[in-house]
Amino acid sequence: MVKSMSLLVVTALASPLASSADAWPQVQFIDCSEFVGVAPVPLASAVARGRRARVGWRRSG
Amino acid sequence: MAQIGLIIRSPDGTALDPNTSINNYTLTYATNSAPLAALLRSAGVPAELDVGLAIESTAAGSGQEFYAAVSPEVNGTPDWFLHGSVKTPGFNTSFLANWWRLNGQRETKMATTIDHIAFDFSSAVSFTTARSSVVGGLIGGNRIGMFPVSFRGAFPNATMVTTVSP
Repeated sequence: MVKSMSLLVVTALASPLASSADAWPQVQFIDCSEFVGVAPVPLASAVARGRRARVGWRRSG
Repeated sequence: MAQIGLIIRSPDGTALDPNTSINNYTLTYATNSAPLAALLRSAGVPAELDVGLAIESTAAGSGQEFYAAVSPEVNGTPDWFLHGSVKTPGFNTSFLANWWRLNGQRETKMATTIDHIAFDFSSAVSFTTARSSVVGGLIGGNRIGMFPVSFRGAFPNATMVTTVSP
């Protein structure tokens, strides 16, 4: 039986400069290198974690 | 900066080409820029400051050692690590990365446009985090031995625009 899957994305971005707060809501990144990794995770678990994250944010916000 | 999310369908009909764009729901976000963390938090993104955030690789060439250590100052935000080997990117394209976050009825979108980016697809990198963390629960343990799909990217500049609606 194939379980429903979602995809986890992990990103690490190195950049020597982010633009000043004056430019907000725009942010400039220069001379960047990044790694992006993608791995499958069970969809049911992902949905449950997402719900908990949203609830947690509302409580703390 | 370093972030973790889940790939989602585009909520607003942008970034639809899977070869040149992506939409992700933000689970964690860390940066060593205090102003950026503060601005993103004001926009509803759970961005945390990580003064010691380290992302390093050895000089250009094949089999470069790659390392990332993410350990935000705030308790409850998971620490995580990447380690492995990467190569110098050489496949040129453009890319649009949308990262989303829902905060009650407020929807935050961080859209990063990259006009010129080089990719390599042959990295061999492992991921490690706490088994008890949000991400550990997702992966069912504390380690991904090697990502089945990965991208090593390099680009001269990019612009991220953050919008909140409604």
